[in-house]
Amino acid sequence: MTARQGAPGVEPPDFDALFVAHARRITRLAALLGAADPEDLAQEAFCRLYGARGRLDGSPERTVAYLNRIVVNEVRSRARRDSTARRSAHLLLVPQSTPDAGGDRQAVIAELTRLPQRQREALVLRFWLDLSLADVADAMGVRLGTAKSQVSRGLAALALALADEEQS
Amino acid sequence: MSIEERLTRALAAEAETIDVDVEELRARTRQRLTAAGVPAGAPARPARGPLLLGMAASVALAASAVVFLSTEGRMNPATDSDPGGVESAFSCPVQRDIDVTSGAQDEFLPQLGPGGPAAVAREHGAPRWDFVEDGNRATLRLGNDDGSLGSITTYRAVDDGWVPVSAVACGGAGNSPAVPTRDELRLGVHGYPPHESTISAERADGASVFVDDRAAYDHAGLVTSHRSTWVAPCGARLCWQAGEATGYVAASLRANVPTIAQDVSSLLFDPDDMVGRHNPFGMWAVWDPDGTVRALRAVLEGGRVRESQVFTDPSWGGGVLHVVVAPRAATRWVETETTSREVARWAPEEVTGYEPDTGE
Repeated sequence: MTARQGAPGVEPPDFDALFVAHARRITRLAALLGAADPEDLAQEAFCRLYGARGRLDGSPERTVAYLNRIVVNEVRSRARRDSTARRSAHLLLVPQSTPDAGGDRQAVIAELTRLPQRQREALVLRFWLDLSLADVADAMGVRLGTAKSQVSRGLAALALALADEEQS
Repeated sequence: MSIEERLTRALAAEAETIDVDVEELRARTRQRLTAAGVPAGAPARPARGPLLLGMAASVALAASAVVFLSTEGRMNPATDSDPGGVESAFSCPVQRDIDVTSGAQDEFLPQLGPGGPAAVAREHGAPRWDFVEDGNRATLRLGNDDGSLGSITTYRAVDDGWVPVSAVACGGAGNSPAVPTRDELRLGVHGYPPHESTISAERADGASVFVDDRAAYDHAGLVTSHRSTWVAPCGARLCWQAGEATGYVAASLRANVPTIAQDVSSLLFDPDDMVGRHNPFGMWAVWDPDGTVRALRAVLEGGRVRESQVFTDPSWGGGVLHVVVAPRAATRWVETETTSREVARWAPEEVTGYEPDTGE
């Protein structure tokens, strides 16, 4: 049981501060991972974090990592529960921006949503959250080698899809 | 521009388009926690060495519900109102009481040892768990990956820890291990990618053909595994294997009596999951290597009929497997019909079971 106690000298994170600091990022992460209702998922993630507070080690870094993992798992769970493909639902709400920049963004994001979910997770965690590969693996609940391979395959598939689109 | 750079820019731009009202989100989260049974404004309970204390206080939610650790290595008292990663109510068809006090069973013994509730969860393969103390009592909830509740065990405090008092675990309808699934009488995939066939190429005289995959509640009320069934001809028999890559049950059907159905119901669930429980399904099969059988049916109460599903492969040399699944209690008889229209009927209890595979 002692393993579940906070590490000496680590200030207990403040949930309110944690919420304010991460709510926007967590909601956006959920959206980029394909959640049909990112705000609902973010609420659920914070509720689960709140429920799990007793088994966290008190380190803010680990708490944030745990929150990331909750989001990844919850997006997967909801996708399993709802077989209707809604991975790109939030994209319908994306407003148009400047044609050139927006065009490339939309093309990249559109191809991203067509990737297998694990590759999409790996790319979003690596290139949006800027996580290390070890942290990507942690958030995805996979081994480091698997995370590396998902990033690599995802990038290759994305590059290929974009090249095909540009040629057509 | 490299693909990494394009992706980074696209993700950053895309994220900026997703507007989030943090205050509104916080209010809704607070409502959700309150709805989950966390009383707002409850007085804080003193605790030594609390984790995330500020978290609870600043959200003004349920300080009394917080599960804190004390320096004594035991959790401090708390009320059972934790919103947690495990749901507080069962969503499975039935819940069964498990005797955890008399020693009469050893399939589910959630004993709290030095490893605490985490060790119990690990032992039973529970992806999620919640442990809440309330004075001299405590509750351990084990849950599935999606947060659904698998079992609740209650404990009472003794001098050196906790002893289980009672346990309730999930089960399928009629105290069966069957996890509800759509179209449960249909063979095929039921929610999980099947495990690969474990029938060895050395034994098989043709390709392995997939028959069914379904999950079951284990003795902890969790859905931690699913089992796949495959068939392939092997010598004069039809070999069956059901299970996972790391463990399976093998069986075989004789081919010299093609018009006699055989009961293979037990292949639907792991034998361990069936101890003391009820299989709600009957699964009957006929292995027809030479095209003698025209139909296999289960005739139910009221004259309803379930026809078999047929499995074959070009490599089987014309052999065909007929399999039918029906609710066992409602099945009046099982019948085969040959190509010459001869019908043979058996009451379900008269149909013999499959033969254990001796490797002969």
